[in-house]
Amino acid sequence: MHRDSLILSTIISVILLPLLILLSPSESFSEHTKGKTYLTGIIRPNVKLQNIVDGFKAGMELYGFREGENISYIQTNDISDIDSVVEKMIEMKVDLIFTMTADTTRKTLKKLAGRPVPVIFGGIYDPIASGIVKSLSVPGDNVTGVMIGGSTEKAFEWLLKAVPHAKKIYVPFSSESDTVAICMSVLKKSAEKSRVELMTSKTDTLHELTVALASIPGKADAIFIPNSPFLITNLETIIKFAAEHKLPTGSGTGQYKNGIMITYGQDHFYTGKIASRLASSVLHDRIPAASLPVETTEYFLGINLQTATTVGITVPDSILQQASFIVR
Amino acid sequence: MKIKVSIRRRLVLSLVLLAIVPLLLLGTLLSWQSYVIQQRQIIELQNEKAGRALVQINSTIYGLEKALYNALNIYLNILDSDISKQRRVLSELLSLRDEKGTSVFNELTLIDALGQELARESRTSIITPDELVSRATSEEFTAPLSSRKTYFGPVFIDGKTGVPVMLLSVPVIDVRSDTVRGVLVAEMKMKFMWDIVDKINVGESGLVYIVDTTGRVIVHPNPSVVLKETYYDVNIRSGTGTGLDGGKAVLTHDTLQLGNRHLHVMTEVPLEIALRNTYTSLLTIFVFLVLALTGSIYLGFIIVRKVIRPVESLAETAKAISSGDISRRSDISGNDELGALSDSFNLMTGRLAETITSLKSEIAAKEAAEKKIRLAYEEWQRTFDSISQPVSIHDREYRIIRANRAFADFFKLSYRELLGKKCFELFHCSNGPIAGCPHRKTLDTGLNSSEELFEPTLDKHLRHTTSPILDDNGDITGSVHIAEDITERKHTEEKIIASLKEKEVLLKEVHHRVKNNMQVISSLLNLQARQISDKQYADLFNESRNRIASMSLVHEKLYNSRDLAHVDFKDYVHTLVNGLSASYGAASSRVFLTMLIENITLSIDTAIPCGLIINELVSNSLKYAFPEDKKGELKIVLEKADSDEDRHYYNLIISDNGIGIPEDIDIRKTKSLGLQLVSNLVEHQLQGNITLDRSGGTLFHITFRELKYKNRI
Repeated sequence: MHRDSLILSTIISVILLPLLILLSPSESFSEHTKGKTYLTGIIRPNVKLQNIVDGFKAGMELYGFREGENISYIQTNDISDIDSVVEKMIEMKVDLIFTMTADTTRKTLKKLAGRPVPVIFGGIYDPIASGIVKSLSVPGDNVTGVMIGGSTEKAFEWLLKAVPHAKKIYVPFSSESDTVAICMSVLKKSAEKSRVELMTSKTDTLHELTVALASIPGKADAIFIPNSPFLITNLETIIKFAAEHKLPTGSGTGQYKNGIMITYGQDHFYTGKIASRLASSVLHDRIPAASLPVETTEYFLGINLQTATTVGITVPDSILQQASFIVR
Repeated sequence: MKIKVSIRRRLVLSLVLLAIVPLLLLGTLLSWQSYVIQQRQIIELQNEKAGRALVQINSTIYGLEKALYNALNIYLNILDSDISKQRRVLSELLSLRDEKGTSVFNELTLIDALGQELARESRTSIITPDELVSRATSEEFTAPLSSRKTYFGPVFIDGKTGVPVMLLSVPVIDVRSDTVRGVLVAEMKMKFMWDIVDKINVGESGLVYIVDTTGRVIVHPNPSVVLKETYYDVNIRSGTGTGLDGGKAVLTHDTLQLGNRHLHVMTEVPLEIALRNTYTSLLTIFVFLVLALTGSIYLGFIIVRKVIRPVESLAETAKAISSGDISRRSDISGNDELGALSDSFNLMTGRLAETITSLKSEIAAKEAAEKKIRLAYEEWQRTFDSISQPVSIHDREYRIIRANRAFADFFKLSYRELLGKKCFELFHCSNGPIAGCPHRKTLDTGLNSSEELFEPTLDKHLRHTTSPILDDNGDITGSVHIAEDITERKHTEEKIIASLKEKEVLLKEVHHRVKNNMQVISSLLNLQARQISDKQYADLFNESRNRIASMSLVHEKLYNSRDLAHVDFKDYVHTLVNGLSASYGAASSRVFLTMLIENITLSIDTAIPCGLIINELVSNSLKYAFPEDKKGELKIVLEKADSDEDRHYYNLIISDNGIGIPEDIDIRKTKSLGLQLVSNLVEHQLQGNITLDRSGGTLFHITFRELKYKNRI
């Protein structure tokens, strides 16, 4: 190259280089995700929680994460070996893991210890009590999510409002999760306030549950189902038993669609959407999960009139008017 | 020649002044205008958005108030109802939700006129009658009770959820008695405001949020910000400032007035976003400027490379050539004008080199010629100066235009002092040419002129010799003047003349004395002859006397003539012959003398023998040719016959028609002294020839030539 041309090229390069740098696309809020496909792992421990996943995905889409375009999900429903599941997700270099339930989240976090993979949980009764987060405002440990607890007491009251004559409430519980214990504690307090008697039985297996249920006819006026993954998993058994024995059911789990007569608690879809906002803040805004406060889900009154009819309960209009969801 | 202001520097200055400076000024002006307009627009937009948020929030709160009042209106006697009914009413109110389905009340409490809670419903807890307390002293009770207006309490945080809530209490008024019979206190969640501000788009990434009087953010599109207990400086007002996240932002501030409470409604747009258009304008201007700058630099570079550098190269080449390196050539090539200029320059340089080479040759030749001329001139000058006589060259105006050293020395003036002076001023101290000026004569005649003059002022005799100087046309342009100092010669001449005169006098005296002595001898012989009676002997004496007289006559003629060396021989012959004729008396009277003598002068060496010859032959004729009183004729002829070298030949013929000389007398062998003398004088002294013709008398034809003078000393 001619010496003059070399000098000219150098001068022009020196002048234009800052210009090119200036004109080069900066990693802005909306552009840093452009062209990148995020991989999000979803650990769903129970099919009854699929609505949370649906709400999460729907919310993610609202925030610009469209499945197949810039985000893809790998979802596992088998929680028998969470470690393997998480290990596989790590190998696949997931950008975020969306979990549900305290036990699943805790196991996931344990497996992820030291790994920079944020975890968003989509429905933990009391994440502080479960040891998931240190506080709601500053969760820490690269995890945040949506708390669903807090509606149990009121849910218990709603059951009593729907079944005013009930004096004995049967509450099965499992020992699989500390959430159940917390929930049971609240229920006991609520029963005392409401001056009703609780009938509880520990049911960690389906058999135990079946046996326990078989023992309550003529003794309990209603069944209250606490936030227990085991019970949710075997919800059909309870509902079927309740229908057969004309026992109204209530719960704070929001599982009215799955047959519980009256619930007051989270709406799974809504919870999933709130969780998606947090996930978006992590992925999109690059805000560490640890600095995103845990949000509390909204509580909705849901009534399954089919179940009510089955068990011979007429839900008053005053209650129906206050319901957010009614299954007729 | 040193270049004071280079074209390159002028070019750079021109580019800076004509391209970059105006662009910078224009860019700065446009940027500033864009910045001001953009900021004003974004603030107006934010104010509008804040206003919209205020309207929506006020509208929602108004709706909630209305809902509470409506419930109270529906249940006019709620205060008098049983607690279950009261709880049912409160529960129904708790079910109120915003558009997004979010509940707006956490808790509702019905208080009687005394401040006692009658019923309380919560969204999360079971409130038993035992839990009802008196709130008679609480502001949320006393305020609406006394004012009969809605009361807005301070914002506080729900300990379970971290969500900000505000107490909203409305008076329960008995329309019949128009008295406040109680208060309905609602714990209003601020969450619904989150949804309102979340829906308000302030530009691309602007937002609206609300800060309470403590500075805590209670409403924000992102719940995390609220839940994180974010605080903000509420003293910040509209304008550019620090945003919620610590970055620079354009901020606006408004006040949400809720009864006796007010909240700060803030809008902010990141400065980067707010001024994006400004930045875009700036970027556009900058890009334009950079492109213009690049273009200018490129143009300047091209000009430098294509024009300036070739020009500088040409200038450098020209400088080198001007310094003498005519072998230098411009290495600029191309098909443009500069390439053509370079080619022409090289061609010109080549020709210049050829011309210089030729000139050098010519100069060398000229120098050689000049050297020759100089040498010639120097030689001429040396020669000129070596001439001992003063030599000068005068123009037609008598001005001295050149002079040799002798001339300068002669007048004791320098060469420069001499130049231009008039010659007559120097030589004659006159104001004009003197009479007989040789220079004038030469100018007039074109011939050499010479004049010897005595210069009284110089006290010298000078011989002025002038020779004309002619131009190519033959016209006289001046003369060469040689002034020869002849003073010494003049003095010598005068001495010689004096000496000559003295010698002439002496010679005349000698001739006079010789003549006198000869005359004395002649007189003695005459006296002797008179005493001799024998005529024969007397005649001998007379003949001798005549011979001496003839010689004496020569000396007489010599000292009487101007030329002491020559004798006017015609006069001599006449005197001599007349004397002889007188001497012989009667005999000569019968003889008719004819003398044809040319004007001839002879030296004394020739004249004396020649006079003796004439004396002898005339005497012989007078004496013997006409005996017995016989008459006859005697003819004497002397003429120049011919010339040889510097001597003349003469014919001397002496003839008579007398009796003639007997045939038997041989003039060379005769005993006659006279004839022997003639023969000897002619042949031996004059080295001539003598012939005798006896046919009609006697005719002696003598041919001789003048003798050369012989130094006698």
